[in-house]
Amino acid sequence: MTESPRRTEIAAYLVAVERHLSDLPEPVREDLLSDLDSHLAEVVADLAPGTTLVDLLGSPESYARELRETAETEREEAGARMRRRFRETVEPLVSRTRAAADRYAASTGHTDAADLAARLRPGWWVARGVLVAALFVYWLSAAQYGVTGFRVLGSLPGLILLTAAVLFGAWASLRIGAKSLEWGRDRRRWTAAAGLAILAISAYQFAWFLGVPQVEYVETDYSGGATDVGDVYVYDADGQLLSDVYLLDEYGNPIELGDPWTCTDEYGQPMATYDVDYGYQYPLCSVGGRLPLEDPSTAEPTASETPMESEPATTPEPDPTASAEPTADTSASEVPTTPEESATS
Amino acid sequence: MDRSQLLKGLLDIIVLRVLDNEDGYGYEILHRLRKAGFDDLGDASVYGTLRRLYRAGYLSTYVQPSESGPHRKYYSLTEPGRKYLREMRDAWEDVSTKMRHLFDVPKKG
Repeated sequence: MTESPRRTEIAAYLVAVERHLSDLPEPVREDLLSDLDSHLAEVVADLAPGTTLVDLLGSPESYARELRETAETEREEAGARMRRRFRETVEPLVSRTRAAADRYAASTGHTDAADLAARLRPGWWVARGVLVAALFVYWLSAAQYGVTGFRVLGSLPGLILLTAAVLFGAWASLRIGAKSLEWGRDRRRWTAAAGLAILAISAYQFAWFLGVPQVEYVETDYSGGATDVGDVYVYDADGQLLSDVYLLDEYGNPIELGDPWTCTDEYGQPMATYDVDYGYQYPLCSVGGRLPLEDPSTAEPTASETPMESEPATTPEPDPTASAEPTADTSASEVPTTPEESATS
Repeated sequence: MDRSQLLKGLLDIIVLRVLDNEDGYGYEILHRLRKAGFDDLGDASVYGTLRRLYRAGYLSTYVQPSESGPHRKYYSLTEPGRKYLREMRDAWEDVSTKMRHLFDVPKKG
């Protein structure tokens, strides 16, 4: 018999056995397989020509089964096996990341990532202290603004407070950081977690400052109650403000947006014109084409001059003749005739 | 009756006893066992037992070159191994005495 066919026979047998032992704890499996090679070589040495390993030892499956029954002290429980598998998959990733970090640190002229991290540490301590101080001042100003109405941010006392808080925060954080070098692993982990939490909270709180678009919810309401929408202005394609417009949905029901009480006449009644079938005329605060909301100082006298005789057909814009006519036409054509309301109110 | 199950519990004591007389290497130990009448034991069982006893510190190993073929890994008993064998032997004597008594009790009827 020649050496090499026997060697491949052993190797093939070994691989097959190994496959059937994959769930064994690592140390046990390692120990079994590290020596199985030489053991099988001993067996093969005594093998009569013409007989194979399988003839003598049985199938690799049964061999593996027998091995595990005798060599295994106790079966690895499922939880432990899953943890081991997870560790085995994650470990290469972690080590690769670590190697990349080391290379990066080395390229910046430092020994390794740990060295770079040690150099950067005081900077991080200052940063987290400043962030905590900024959060403190921000929250304080927000809390007191609701009560006193005083703007801390942008005022001189606020600036002094902010400076003092930042200096104190950085100082306290540096002290904690210097002390943390002597702490145990658990305590340092908690500190690191707290640092990350500070980062996350700051990112959330100061996102507006960094120009991250905020999601805003504007409540719109058909019932026309108290909403953020006070009035509705409708413009045509030429940019001209349309007056005396009714808003209807696809069922012909009036869409009531805005608050008629936004502007009231001298008797304290809403100035808005209302129609039973078509709802409010928009803009609600349009009195003779003037928009009191845009210029409150001139709105009041205009309102008192012509309390209810708002003539919708005429919209005295800077250019009356040009704009008034189309506006009147549009409102007339859009809204089916309601003479009482639209023409002679 | 499948004797291999019965023998599994005795593998430690069997292998240790065989090595107590003389050091041996894997496949040769199996031959000794076969000669002693344990035909049901497979190579994997013996090898697995050897490795487990080695991990437990009951056996030590050394490699010896052989005139024909590859190097051989010899197993020999350590002091804890000998102590363990004595304990196991006492336990076996105790159990086997009780078993004999149990079987010697005449059946009723």
